[in-house]
Order: sequence, then structure tokens, then C-alpha cells
Amino acid sequence: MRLGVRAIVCLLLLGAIVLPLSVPTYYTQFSTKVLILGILAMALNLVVGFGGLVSMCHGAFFGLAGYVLALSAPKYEPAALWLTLPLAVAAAAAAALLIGALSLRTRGVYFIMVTLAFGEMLFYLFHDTNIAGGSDGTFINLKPELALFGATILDLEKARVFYWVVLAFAVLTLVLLYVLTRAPFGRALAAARDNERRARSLGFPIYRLRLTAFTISGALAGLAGYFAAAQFGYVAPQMLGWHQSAIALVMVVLGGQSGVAAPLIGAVIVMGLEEWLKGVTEHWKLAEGLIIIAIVLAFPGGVQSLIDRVIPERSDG
Amino acid sequence: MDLATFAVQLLNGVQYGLVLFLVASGLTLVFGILGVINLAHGAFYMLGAYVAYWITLKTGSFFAALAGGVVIAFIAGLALERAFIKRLYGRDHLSQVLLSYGLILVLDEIRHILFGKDVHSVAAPQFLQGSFRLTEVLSYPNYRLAICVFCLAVAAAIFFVIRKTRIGMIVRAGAENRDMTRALGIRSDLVNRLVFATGIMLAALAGIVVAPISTVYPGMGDQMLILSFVVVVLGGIGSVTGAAIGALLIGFADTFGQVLFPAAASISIYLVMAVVLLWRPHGILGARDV
Amino acid sequence: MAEIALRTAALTKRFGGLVAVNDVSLELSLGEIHAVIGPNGAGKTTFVNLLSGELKPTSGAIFLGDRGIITLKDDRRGLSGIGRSYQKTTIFPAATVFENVRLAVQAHSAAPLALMHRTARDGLLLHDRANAALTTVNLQDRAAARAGALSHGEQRQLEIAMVVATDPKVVLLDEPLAGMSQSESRRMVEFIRTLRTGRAVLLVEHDMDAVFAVADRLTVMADGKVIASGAPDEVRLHPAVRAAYLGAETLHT
Repeated sequence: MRLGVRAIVCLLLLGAIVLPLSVPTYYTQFSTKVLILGILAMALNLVVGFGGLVSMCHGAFFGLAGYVLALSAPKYEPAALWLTLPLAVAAAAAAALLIGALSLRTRGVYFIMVTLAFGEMLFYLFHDTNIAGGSDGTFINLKPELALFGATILDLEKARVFYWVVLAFAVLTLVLLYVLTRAPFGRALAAARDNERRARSLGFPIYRLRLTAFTISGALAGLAGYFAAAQFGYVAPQMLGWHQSAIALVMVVLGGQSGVAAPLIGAVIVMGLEEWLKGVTEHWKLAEGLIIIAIVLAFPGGVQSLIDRVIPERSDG
Repeated sequence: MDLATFAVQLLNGVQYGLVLFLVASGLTLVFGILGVINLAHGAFYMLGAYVAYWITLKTGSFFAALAGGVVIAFIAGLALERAFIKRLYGRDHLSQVLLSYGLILVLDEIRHILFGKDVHSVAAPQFLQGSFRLTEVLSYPNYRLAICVFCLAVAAAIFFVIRKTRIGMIVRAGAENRDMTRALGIRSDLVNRLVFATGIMLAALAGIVVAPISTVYPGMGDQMLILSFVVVVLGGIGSVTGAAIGALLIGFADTFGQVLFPAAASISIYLVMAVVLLWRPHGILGARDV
Repeated sequence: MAEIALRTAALTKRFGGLVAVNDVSLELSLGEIHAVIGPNGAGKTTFVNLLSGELKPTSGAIFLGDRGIITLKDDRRGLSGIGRSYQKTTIFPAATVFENVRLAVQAHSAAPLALMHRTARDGLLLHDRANAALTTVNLQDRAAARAGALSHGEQRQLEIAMVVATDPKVVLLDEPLAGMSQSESRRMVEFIRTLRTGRAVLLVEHDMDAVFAVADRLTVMADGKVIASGAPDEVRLHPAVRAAYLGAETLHT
């Protein structure tokens, strides 16, 4: 990374770290929410932006992890972070592996429709059965904590601690994705996106490649979902629904799909927009819908295309 | 399950399948000919039902609702194609998904503004109310039978247009090889607009027709959207015959599923889809060139 | 007798009622350029697609060395030593020329899907092999250019470089000279000539000058069938071949 970019990144990171110390709790919690959705969007972008596959079931991985927390959390005690987090992420990864194995047998529009359908299958699983309260959902009464030998190390009930934990995972996610996309794996994934025929002809095992990407992506979406459920204190089938998947896609597109961190920007924009619109009108969804339509029509490249117009394209590392 | 119950469920399955076919055929036409994936398709089904409710309320006549709803839907389809959809031709799937999602948000909120969030019911036309006897203990609602007949008539009309008219020939050619038909310059702006409007109209028609037997509620569009997607995937994109097969399959799977394993009914549909896809990744009758 | 690298036995492909490839038995030997010509619609590209694994045959067999490969999918065939160029240039236009070739080398490296960046030593090895491939087609000066910005001829050269970079035993060239200028064609023909060392080359072409300049064996297809096969000088005199092409002018007597 060039020096100028490095400096900006350090400044941003510093700013993010000190944020909770300088703003009211409400904004800390809001920023936490943005970071959580940012992780989801970054996870999705591995498959959509780098893989070229439009997945409409990432909401299901997101929600599933939340439900795993709800189901494994004790009723009147905080859940153990070190136990429930890996469990939730593993569940999301397993679901992604299974759904991916089936869906990746299809291409193009079929893939979109099939992922949509499988996502809904998970929705109905929780909605129609009594696994976790059916359509009513379940509460998570206390936020998870990290404790050793009885002593609490991280108490997520405190908004600031929660924020910093999520920030740490967001940075971890960023680093992981950065490493992956620059590794042979990431290059092969992008090649398969740009010209699948040539990638296959060269001998890249495309199915295995994409399934790996899909699974990793699902696991990271689960990571986000765990914290979303923990923060909200409540899980309901809507968390798994395709609307959740669609909003994640909006964030990916708004941020522009070419950078690992770009979806974070998309998350900031969408959440910021929703906050503002909610304050302006009761029918904010109408406005949001119109804005999405306008952006698709006017800016196919998302925010990235706007940035590229202002700052000339740098060569990719 | 005894024979009479089985017969009732069979009829229910057929009726459900036929309604599904109406919606799915519209979806598969829009995708097969225009190459556009339209998530808002379910929203039109929902709007059809709400408009039917409203017109029946104001005029007292279900047939006014039927006629009026269809006309409104067709005109809306023409307008939407001109305003938004035509900008999606040839664009990547992601853009289409997002634009149609934005459209859902808009349509949903419009429904909220016009009709509120309430659940409604619509009365079937007088002469179709009541039921006829199957056995001494079981009878079947007249209206449901009427739905079957009506949907079969519409299906027959669709197949007639597709097999016997010039426009139908374009539809079939487009389903098989979209790029070729485009290259041959067969499709024009008007054909596109008509195809889209027809697709939307079919979804709305289905919504109008089911209004008397299902409740009219805000989430009905979502549910129908997913189901119609499953049907289209099963049958193969662009194939109306495939949509018919898929719709009947899903109609039966869901109906008998609800009776035999109620908790797992919704899931069974996706299992059917998974099994079919393992066998044929392009759907039962899908062309490979999508 | 040269070693047979690839051979087909009664290979047939039906599309509904149309028989695109009809009972074709052909051999590709190491060190030989085997040209396949024929009028449009003869089934040549379909045949190549059957060899590369992108199409499944209706009947017949394909052998890579001793091994039957009918059930092998296209990506595994690519890995097994079959390289192919397409009628329509198939490269990665958004990546640089160097990146394109590097990907080809990566596909055949020890860990093509490694999740982490390579060690410096492995990376250097890939780097060198990619550069070597670029040099063989004379594109080393254009290494940093975006592949999509290259001229048509240069892009086709790049595609061949990518194929060569995978170190294939069998090379399938589907109309490599299409759309090239005179000078570009001449250079490409020279290059194709060098390809035969240690490899079996299948050359589908319409450019007769090129075909007769490099071909060691010639097969003529029409309507999906092989109508003549053998040494080029013999085949050009074959009566059925002359009948298949409209008039003798096209065969340069």
C-alpha cells in the first residue's frame, strides 16, 4: 500500500477507536450496528464483487448465526462468547457449505433464484416450526461475555466494549479478506468471474473454488449475525429473510464492488440514509426504494465509480 | 387418507398449481424474452388482490374488479416498462435484482398509503358461492372449481398465442436463444412493452382470482414471489410448458405436504427443487443458454 | 512412428435430429501439426469442443495417451495437458497481459487455489515462467498493458501464450488466424510451426496458405464426417475433397 493510503487508513482506524469516547452512547450503538452490517456486506462482496455471483441467501447465514446464539444462550445468564461465537459461525459455515454445494451447480439467473429459494427455506424452517418461538422469535436477555475462571474480561453489556469488540472483528475481517483476495485463491476467483470459460480451460477447478469462497463468505456473514442478534437482544425470522439479503446487496453495490473495504462505505451510506429518511417521513421506504432505483440507473458502479471519476484509477496491487 | 379426502386434496393441488402457473408464466416470459429478473413480480400479485378488494368494495361487483384490475395492471405494466424496465435490458443481473427490489419497496409503500396494512377478505361472486357435493360428507367449493376452469382457460389462451401466432413464435425463439432473436432484429420496443405488461397482468390476475379464497394481506406478494421462482427454476427459464409442469409439481407438493407433514410442508417444496436441480441444473425444460 | 498423444474413436455428437459430428476417428501425434479443414458447418468447432470437454459426446471415445477421458470435465482436461484457443479470443481483458499469463501458470502450479500469498521463492518461479511464455510470443514489452487494450492480433498472441504457459501435451487451435492482418498471420504461422516440438497440435483453419505451410497431416471434414485424411499433398488431390469445396481454386493446385 502506498504511503498516502496507509496514512489515511491509520487515521481512520484511530478515529474509529476513539469514537465511543467522544460521542453519546446512541451514536456508539449506531456505529456498532453499521460495523456489523459492514461485516455482512464485506462478506457478501467476496461472492458478489470478487466472485461475480449474485447470492440472495446471505441473510439466511446472518440470521442463522443469530438464532444459534439465541438457542445456546442461557436464559438468565450471559452466554459464553468463546463458546457461542465459534458455534454460531460454524453453523453459518455449514449452512453455506450445504446450500453452496447445491446452488453452485447452477449458473446465472438460476443461481440467483435458487439461493433466494434456499434462503427462504431457512426462513420457513424457523417461522413455521417451534424451534425458536416460530414467527414470534426469541429474546436474548443478556449480552454474551468473555469470562475466564469466573472473572469477566469483556462485558458486552457496556456499549463501548461491545463496539470495540465488533470493531476488532471488523478489522480482522478486512485483513482476512485482503489476504484472501490477493492470494492465488482470490486471483483465480476473479479470473473465473471475468471469463469463466478461459478459467476452466486453463484447468482451475471452478466448482471447488467458488464453494470455498461461498463457505468463507457465509461464515463471515454468520459472524455479523451473531453480533447483530447480541446487540438487538432478539431474533425473529425476518433476520433470515430475503429482504435482509437484498439490503446487504444494496450496501455492496453502493460501496462499489472492487475493494475489500468498499462495502463498509456502502453500509455507512445505507444506514445513514435510513436514519435520515426515518426522521423525515413515515413513508421512508418509498423514498429508499426510489433512491435505490435512481442509483442503479445512474451509477452502475456505485460509489466506486464516483470516486474513480474524481481520483484517477490506481493500479491494483 | 380416504378416497374423498384424497380427491379434495387433488383438486386443491390442481387449483393451487393453476394459480401458480399464472404467476410463474408471467415471470418466465419476462425473464425468457426480455432477459430481466424481476423481483417485483410478487408485488403485482399482491396489488392485484388489493385492487380487487377495493373495486369490489366500491362497486359491489367482483367482475368489475376482475376487468378493472386486469386493465389497471396492464397499463401499469406498460408505464413501468417505459420508465424503468427498458433501461435494464442487457444489464447485469445484480442491477436488475436491485432495481426490482427498489420497486418492491416503492410498490409496498404505495399499497400502504392507499390501502393500509390491514388484512382483508373479498367475497366471491354470488352465483359461485356455495359448494357441490362430492360424497355424502364432503363437498367442494364452487368458486375453487371456477378458479380451475378460469385458469385453464387462460392457460389455453397462453398456449394458443405461443404456439399459433407470430408473436408466440417470437416468444419461443426468444426463450431458446435470446441473442439470436435480438441479432435478427425481430424484437421491437412495442413487443417488449407488451410482453412485460402481459407478464405483470398475469401476476395481478392471479392475485385478483385468489382474493376470495385467501386473505388479502401485505406479505402475500413475498410468498408468491419465492414460489413462482421455484416453479420457474424447476420448469426452466423461458419455458411456459416447463412452468406448467413445475407449477403442478409444486402445487401438489405443497397441498399434500400441508396435509401429510404440516410442520415440514414449506420445506418440502425446496427439497423438491433441490432434488430436481441435482438431476437437471437447468430445470426440467430449460435451455442451456441463459 | 510418432507417439499418439490424443485420439478419438467413432466420436459422434447429436443435437436432436442434427448430427454435428459423425463417427470421427482421428489421431494427434507428438511433434505433428494436424490440420482440420472443411466448409462452414462441417462440425470442426463442435469437434474441438468435444476434445476440450466443453461438450459431451453422444457416443464414441477419446483417449489421452492410454487413458479414456470421455468422463473428464473440461477443467480437469485442462489440467491433464490439453490446451485450447478459441475462435473468439478468450482472455481476461480487465487484467494486465502479465497477469493473464501468470494465471495460466498458476493453474498448473502446486497450489493453484492457495488461500495465502505464496512464498517468495514460489512466486519468483511463477514470475519467471510467465515471462518466458510472454517472450515466446514476443509480448514481453506489453506485459504491463491491460489485455483489453491490445490489438486483435496481440490478443490472439496472448491467448496462445497462455495456452503454452500451461505446458500442454496437446494444443487445440480453433481458427487462430481469424481476423489477423497479413503480417500478423505470417508471424503467427511461424509461431505455430514452433509449437509442434514435443506437442501434438490440432489446427482448425480456413486460411489455406497457412494450412499447407505448416500441416504435417490434413483431415477434411464436411457435414460432420471425415471425408479424407492423410498427407496434405495427397488429400488436396482427393476427388471427394475437391467436390466438398466449391471448385479447385480454393485448394491451390
